[in-house]
Amino acid sequence: MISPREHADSPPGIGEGTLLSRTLTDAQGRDIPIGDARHDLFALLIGGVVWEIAGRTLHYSFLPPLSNVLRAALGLLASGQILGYVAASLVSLVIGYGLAASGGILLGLLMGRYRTVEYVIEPYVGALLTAPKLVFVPILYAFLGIGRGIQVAVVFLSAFFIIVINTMAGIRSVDASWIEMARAFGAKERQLFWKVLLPGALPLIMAGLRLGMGRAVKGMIRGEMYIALFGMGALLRKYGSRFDSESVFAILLVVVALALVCSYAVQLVERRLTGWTEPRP
Amino acid sequence: MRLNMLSPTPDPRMPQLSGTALKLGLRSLSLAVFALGWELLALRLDSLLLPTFTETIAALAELIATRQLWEALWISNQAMVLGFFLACFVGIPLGLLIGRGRAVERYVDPYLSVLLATPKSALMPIVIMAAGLGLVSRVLVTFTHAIVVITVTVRAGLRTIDPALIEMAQSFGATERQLWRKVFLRGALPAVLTGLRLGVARAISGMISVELLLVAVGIGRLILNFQGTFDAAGLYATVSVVVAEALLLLQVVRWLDRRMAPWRFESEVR
Amino acid sequence: MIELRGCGKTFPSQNGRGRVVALKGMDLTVRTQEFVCVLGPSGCGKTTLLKTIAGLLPLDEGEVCIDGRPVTGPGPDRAMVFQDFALLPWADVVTNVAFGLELRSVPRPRREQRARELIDAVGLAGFELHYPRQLSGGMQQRVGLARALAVDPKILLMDEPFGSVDAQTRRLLQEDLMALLERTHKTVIFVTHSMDEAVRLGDRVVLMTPRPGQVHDMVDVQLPRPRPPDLDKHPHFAELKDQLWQQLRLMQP
Repeated sequence: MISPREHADSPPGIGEGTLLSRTLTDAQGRDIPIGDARHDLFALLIGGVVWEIAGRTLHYSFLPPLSNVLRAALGLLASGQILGYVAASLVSLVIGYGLAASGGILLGLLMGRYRTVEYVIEPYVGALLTAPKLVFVPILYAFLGIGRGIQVAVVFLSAFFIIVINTMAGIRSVDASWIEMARAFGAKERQLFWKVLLPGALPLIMAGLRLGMGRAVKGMIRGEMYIALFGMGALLRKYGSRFDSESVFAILLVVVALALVCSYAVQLVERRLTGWTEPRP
Repeated sequence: MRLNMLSPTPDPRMPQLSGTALKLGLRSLSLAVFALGWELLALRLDSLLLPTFTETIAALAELIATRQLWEALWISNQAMVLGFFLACFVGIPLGLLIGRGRAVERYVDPYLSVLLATPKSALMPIVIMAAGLGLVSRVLVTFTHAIVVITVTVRAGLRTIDPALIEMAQSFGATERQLWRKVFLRGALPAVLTGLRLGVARAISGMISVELLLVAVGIGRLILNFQGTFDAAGLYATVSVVVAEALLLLQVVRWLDRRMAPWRFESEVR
Repeated sequence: MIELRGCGKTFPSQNGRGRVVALKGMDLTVRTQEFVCVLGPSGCGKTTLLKTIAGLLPLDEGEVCIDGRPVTGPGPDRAMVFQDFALLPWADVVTNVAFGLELRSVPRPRREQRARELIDAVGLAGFELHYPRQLSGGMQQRVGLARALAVDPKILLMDEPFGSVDAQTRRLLQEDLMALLERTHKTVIFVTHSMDEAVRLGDRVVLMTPRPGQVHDMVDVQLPRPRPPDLDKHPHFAELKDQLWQQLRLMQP
């Protein structure tokens, strides 16, 4: 149903995988960096200035000037309120993502290696991958009630399927010539798996983990907004319902910062582990 | 000859052993097992919270028969469709322009990266504050959910066009206009289609999110109602409708992809 | 000694309809320490033949025997060198060369030492810690060659090993291969497209016909060993090449 090619990062095509990297891969497979820190800083600075001016001149209640937002953010941080919520969010994120990563890689490996497993499971993975995960929360709520459990479940669901699909694609993407070579040198199935399949699948597995992290963060926020009891999503709803746009933006900045840090962390690991990926001819 | 024919990893030179028959058989079997397992588990637990498979099917049939479902779908999908098309309308040209203009791209890129990483549901309170609780704000929500991924995908797609082709066309004296028509638009087509596929999924996500979180209309309202009245069968039925819709739309985009860019789908004989 | 008797292998056709007879009624005997070049037009089953001897493909008919024993799978007596190098991109040169030994659970210090010996022998001393992507095509194939030699096989199976490099590199690799084999005599089956290469390297050239793959003719190469540096001027060299070409020409579709 789902061809791994569609969801995975298969050069020279594009998929979700390329999107978060700050380089673009061209047709020759070379990585071209898009600008550098100077451009980033400059661009963000300009943006900040525009925001400030817009906030001050256009008196929209939903667009406070940047300075107000920053002041609100500092206030929230200083009062210590926000830290508790950030911590709560992070705990769910870490547990949910951890489960999704370990479970997802495991299932993906099984699906990639054994056709039968793939045939049986793939329709469900495919269906659940495309479905909006938030829609399952009312169902989960019945079993898990309000609390940490359902929050972790939402994060898990958000990240799990994309990790599965990418891991499976990773196993599939292993160059047949490496497998043949290893066989020619007498590799047994076990050796084939650990010495060729797994290392070869690593780039896509890492891509899956990176994408999964992005989705985990988004699922986390969505889940928190639904449950509205803890975490930054809850704060967003609270201040949103009070029409306190300054606080909403302040929290938003924290959320964005968190999302970027998490994604960056995964990208670092990714780069370390898959530095060998060569440009394809 | 004791050679290992059944390689667990696909050897393209190995003959396939009636793959499709096996595939179909296993899938039907697993579906049956799933349905049966669900039924038995639900009967065993006998809880208000877990309807049986048959109860869910019955509720689904009822929903389909009454106007409730269709009205809800109509209301929800208005926002989704309008937001999605708006996102395409804005996002595709935007992606193309950003992809073409290296200078512009350098400064826009940090924003795209940030926006891509941002949970769009976090933007919903702002949108609601700005646009109220009606259709407009819901359209804006689905718009924001879809636009970034469409723009970024299209932009990345432009990059994958072989620079040698561009040089070649330029060496034959192609104008910017001609370059666009004959090289860029064709070359970026697969990316556009991928962007559509990713965008549809996000638009649906946005549609559901806003209805479950902030503006209880349409499908979202149905779900919340069923939840509130403990009508588990109805809840499950509605959820499966949502999943089905997502799958259906995905298939539509896939079909479109195959029609418009068939060269991408080399026969994946499994 | 390698013997093929009545070997046949059929594949389902790419488009799903019909079948491709890659080999049929293939008979061949290769003497120990003989260097046999297999030459033929594209698609005549040369690679299939090699893989069969390597033990990677089962035969549909006939059998392959090495020193009297039938081939049932890959074994320590044979090693292959691949046209597209097939190096593991995530491993450095030492690890790649030692790969065959690693699969046989040779302890690390021993296998790395052996790898280094061979890296030196193929002229890549100093590149032990490089990665494949940092090496040129010619260098990558040297790694492939070193890897094959590292397991000390009796038989070397080479599938158009120099086909992916440029002409100059090709000549260098050919000369280095010859030099290496002068020291350690092995039985070699060398698949190639090139008549020049076949005559330059082989003791005997086996011409194969396309579908079904069979032995069309065998030509003994009566040229001095080791090959003289002015081989190209040797009258017999040109004659042989031409003889082969005349036959090949008739086989083209």
